[in-house]
Amino acid sequence: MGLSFGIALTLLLLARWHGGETMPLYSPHLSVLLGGLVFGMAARANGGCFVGTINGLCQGEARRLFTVVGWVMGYALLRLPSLPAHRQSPLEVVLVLAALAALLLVLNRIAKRQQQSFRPNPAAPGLQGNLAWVLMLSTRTLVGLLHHSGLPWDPSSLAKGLGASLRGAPLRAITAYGLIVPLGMLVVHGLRRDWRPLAITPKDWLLLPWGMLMALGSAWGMGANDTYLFRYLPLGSLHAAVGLAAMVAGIAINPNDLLTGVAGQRAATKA
Amino acid sequence: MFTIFSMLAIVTVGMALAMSQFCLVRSVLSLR
Repeated sequence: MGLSFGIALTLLLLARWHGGETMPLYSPHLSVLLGGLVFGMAARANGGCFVGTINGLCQGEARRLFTVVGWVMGYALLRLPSLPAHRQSPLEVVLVLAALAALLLVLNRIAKRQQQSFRPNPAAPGLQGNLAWVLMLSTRTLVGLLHHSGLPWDPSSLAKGLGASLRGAPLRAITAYGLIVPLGMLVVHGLRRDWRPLAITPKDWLLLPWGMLMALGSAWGMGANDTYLFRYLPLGSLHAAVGLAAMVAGIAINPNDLLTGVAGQRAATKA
Repeated sequence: MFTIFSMLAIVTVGMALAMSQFCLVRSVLSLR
């Protein structure tokens, strides 16, 4: 939320200085809700979102290659639905900014009550204090500037480009920008020497269909977690708020529990 | 110059994402 708030603030300043944003926004739609749910459930079964998967791959988890191939195949087999797009007004950006600020204040109040220090990522408890602030402030400003540049730098863009090329579309050189984020991750893991190479096991191929489902959810939802948080939410696109909420609900549902539940019901019926 | 700055910015963002272990799935599951 802090990142999205910062990106929105940067975009607002850029819009004042540079004549406004030109990227399209989308209205919430049933397919966005469904796409968010499918993406969330598939991402949980996969063990990571787009960014988490790429980060795992850069740390030596070779099995993540199955997920990445699944994304490319998913994007190759599916076409993006054409939701009606509209241009956002400065008022929409201000509204999103105000909503994100209000949400941050509420979360801050809850954290203060529970006497918790500032931790932007609960999954990384070591990240707090000045380092956390510097990382968040620098990332949100840079992402805001990158977003304004229109470069396809986010992790899912490369998979989309490769998938489209498998469908026959020309592969543009600019797609290679998607390789630079993993390069930054490799630098960090190289400096930290925190490689955790994992050998591929036969059951790892199951990550391939989960990867395809992630691509399917992202296509239906007109975005995934990286594009929602770093691109559409800061722009004031309501579809990102709906998609993100559905995604969080999807992550909370464990697909293995559902499969176990169905198998259990069948066994109970037979008995 | 724009290209070099852009690439440096993207590398920095990639480094920040790796340092913060950014992952929506892990974040949501650790909040539960």
